[in-house]
Amino acid sequence: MNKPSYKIETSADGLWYEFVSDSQHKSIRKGVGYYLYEENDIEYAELAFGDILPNGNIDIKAISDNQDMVIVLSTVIITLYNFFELYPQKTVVFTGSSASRNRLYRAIISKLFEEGRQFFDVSGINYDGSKELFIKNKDYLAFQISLKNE
Amino acid sequence: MNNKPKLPTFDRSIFTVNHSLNDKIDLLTKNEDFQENHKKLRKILKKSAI
Repeated sequence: MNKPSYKIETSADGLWYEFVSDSQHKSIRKGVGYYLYEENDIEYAELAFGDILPNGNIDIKAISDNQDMVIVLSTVIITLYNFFELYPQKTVVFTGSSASRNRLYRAIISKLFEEGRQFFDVSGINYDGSKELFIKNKDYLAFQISLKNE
Repeated sequence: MNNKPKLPTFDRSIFTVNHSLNDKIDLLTKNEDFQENHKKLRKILKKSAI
């Protein structure tokens, strides 16, 4: 993957990432977190993404529209690559806190699907609860990603 | 049979470890919006597993 992306700061355990979204208009500090938990013997990592507030907390509902969506998406995807390098057996899951956030997540997944489908199993969870292999441009309630076994 | 997951190649040089970020994941779990979303996601996953 050689797409433009931002420099990334990471916690020592690779569960938290921050970068600065830069445009002519403004600079916004962004955070990506992977919260680990287990349910029914499946090891999940819930992805959270948002703007870092001045108090250090994260606003997972923020819509910043900083005219750099492509670079931001690439940067989030690189955090996924790094996360899976450290935690290859985890299943990354996420759902948007709003319809617009779900559209953003769908854009991330679509990009990941285009660039890395040979590496990842990507699924979408429909509004009726059924799960299927991800179909680009389809609206889903939640998403699930895991590394393919060789 | 080799079950080791295959990883994509990517530029690791863009990463810098910042130890001041080590407690951020704990901060996230105290975030009310995240907690609400987490509950919602668990329900979705439970339903999809049936």
